[in-house]
Amino acid sequence: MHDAGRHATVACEACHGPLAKHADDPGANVPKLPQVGDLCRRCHEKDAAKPQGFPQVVTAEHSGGVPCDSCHQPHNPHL
Amino acid sequence: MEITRRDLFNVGGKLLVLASVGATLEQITGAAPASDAYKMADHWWGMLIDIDKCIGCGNCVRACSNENSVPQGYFRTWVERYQVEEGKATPTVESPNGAIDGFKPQKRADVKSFFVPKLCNQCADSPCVQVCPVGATFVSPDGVVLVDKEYCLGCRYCVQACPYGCRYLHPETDTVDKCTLCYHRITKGLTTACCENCPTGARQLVDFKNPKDPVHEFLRHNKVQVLKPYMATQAKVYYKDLDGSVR
Repeated sequence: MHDAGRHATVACEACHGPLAKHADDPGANVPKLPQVGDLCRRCHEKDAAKPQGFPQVVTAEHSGGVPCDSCHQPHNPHL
Repeated sequence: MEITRRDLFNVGGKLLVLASVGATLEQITGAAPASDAYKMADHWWGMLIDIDKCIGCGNCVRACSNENSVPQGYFRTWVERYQVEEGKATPTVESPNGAIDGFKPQKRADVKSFFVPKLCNQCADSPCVQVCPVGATFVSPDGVVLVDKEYCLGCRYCVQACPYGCRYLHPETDTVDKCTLCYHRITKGLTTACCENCPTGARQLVDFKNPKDPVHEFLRHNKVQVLKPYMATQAKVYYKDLDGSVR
């Protein structure tokens, strides 16, 4: 689904949850779309404990409540 | 087409060579081996954790919980956030609900802070195995510490003996439960649920007996440490860039 960009090495299940049934029968078992607000924040909300080189923002200041996927394509989020 | 004595000699010779080196049908045909081809003696499992890659998202905790039906409030793996303040004898350690929902942002820039994922250290010389009175806890030939629920009495000796706090009594079965390194997955050629779901690759399943495993190259070029090395447990979970304050 995504072979380029910064999420290229992130496994599908990391965002979409368990997908074994989807892998067995992709048509019949479509993964749920995650809540982007919570999902993106969990990794990218600024925290002093995170590695310095990791992309992180104070989401309230960064987007002012606008959903992340309004600007960033989750499967290929070139920053 | 006429088959000559020379042709027969060539084919027979090749078959003789293959038989003498013990080649299997899969090796001969190039087909993928069946899943039941897993040989415990060929593996020695462990894990590599890169502290500088962990972002404390809690994906590993959620994945483990889902994969292994871990009861609510119990954890086979969890993530701790350390804050090391200059002049303070002990660090501040927090792990809200095992970090299953991640952490609230830590904004203090005047302290050293970082995340440390924890799990069973799969010790080769494990205190939990030594204290089990009925042999229910054991190290498998491929290096994973497992519990046989049929034998476990629920005496909790192993829970007390584990220096890393990695065991708990399952509230429904009254037997001890712990990280199995997703044994049901790794014996099928998959990685563990926590490694699969780590978005930054901070956790890597490693097979020390596999000469092609990248861990060998990694260990040659990086400084690693195990938790509580003074316990001499021969832990097989290696941490890169582990701070001295981590307990």
